[in-house]
Amino acid sequence: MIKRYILPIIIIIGVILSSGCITNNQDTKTLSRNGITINYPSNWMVANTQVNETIIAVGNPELIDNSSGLGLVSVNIQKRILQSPLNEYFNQVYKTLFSNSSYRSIGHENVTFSDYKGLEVDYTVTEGNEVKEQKAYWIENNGYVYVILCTAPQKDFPSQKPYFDFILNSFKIN
Amino acid sequence: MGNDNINQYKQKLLRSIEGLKQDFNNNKISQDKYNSLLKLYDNKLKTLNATLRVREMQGLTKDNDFEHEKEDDELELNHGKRYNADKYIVKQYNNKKHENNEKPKSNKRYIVIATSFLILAFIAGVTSGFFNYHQKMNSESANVDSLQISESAFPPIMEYKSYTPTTKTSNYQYSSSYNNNEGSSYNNEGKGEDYTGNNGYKSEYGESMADEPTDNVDPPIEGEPDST
Repeated sequence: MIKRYILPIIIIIGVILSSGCITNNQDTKTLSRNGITINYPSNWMVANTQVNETIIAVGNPELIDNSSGLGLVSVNIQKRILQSPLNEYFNQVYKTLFSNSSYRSIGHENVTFSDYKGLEVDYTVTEGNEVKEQKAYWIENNGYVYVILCTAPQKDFPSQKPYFDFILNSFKIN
Repeated sequence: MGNDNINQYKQKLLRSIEGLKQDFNNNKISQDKYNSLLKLYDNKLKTLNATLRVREMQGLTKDNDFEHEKEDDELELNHGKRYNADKYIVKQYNNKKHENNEKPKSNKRYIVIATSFLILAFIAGVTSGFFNYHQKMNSESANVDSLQISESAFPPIMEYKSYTPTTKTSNYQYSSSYNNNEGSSYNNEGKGEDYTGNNGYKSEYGESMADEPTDNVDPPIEGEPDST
């Protein structure tokens, strides 16, 4: 008597599990481009940028600067040939950057994410009345430096950080 | 207890009931006692009849049903109510089907329909999800250009550092291209050590550069050290 119901029960459970899997996949999107793969939230979108050496850029289309039309919350990944040791180049870049009063350092440290070891720097950029916070993660791979730059208005940065961390932890060099 | 014993006990009970009736008619026992004893005998008789019927259904006896019905009728008359013997009868499957161990066809049909429905629902769900996923992918690729960003880990001010000019003449060329707002010239290596060779640059063009609107290039860095 019980055996007769086993097959239908298994089928029902299978349907439910399959539906769950399909639904869950819709919460995130995967983007593979220029040898990089990332996952990002489904309400974000691939961004276009004229910035040199950008290989992947995604942003939150819900937060746009009305005057310029540019996205305020974004993750931009750039790739550049590394001509000196990573630490040396990192220090050189930020020594120059922070000599500009618009850029203020919050801190920097060694970091590990998605099986990559690298450097992290956190700073603010003042543009007129707007202050935005940027976190850049530097990693070295096969003679190139990959920089993952997370940007958001300073007041919104904490609320956007989980999305940044999600993208960062899915980062893979193919 | 064998069927013969049951029948004997039953006959004994029937005789007792007859005796009880006679005693009552002769005013030998009271009405209350008569009723209680009659009820007692009646219950015992019903139990015996039920037992006999069950045995008949099990094929253990082939007693005459007529006798039982007659006895039941007598009891019903005594109590003034109908004795429903059908409640003791359990209906069985058709013997032929039972012998072949077959299940009713209707159950099988329901299972087939239910299984087919589940399979169809599963296929429809997966197909729908598959097409929706591709539609989303297409819509996303269609909107690629709708979000613009300008953030860079290597802001334009960094580019000054990488220039390695060789002569002051090149400084002049660099400055003029700057004033012409040809930002792309900054990215060409070999031009413009000018930024690091700041003195000549500032003395000749510094003022005009500060007033010049620059869309593509960040303003000069404050406190940038001279490297020449």
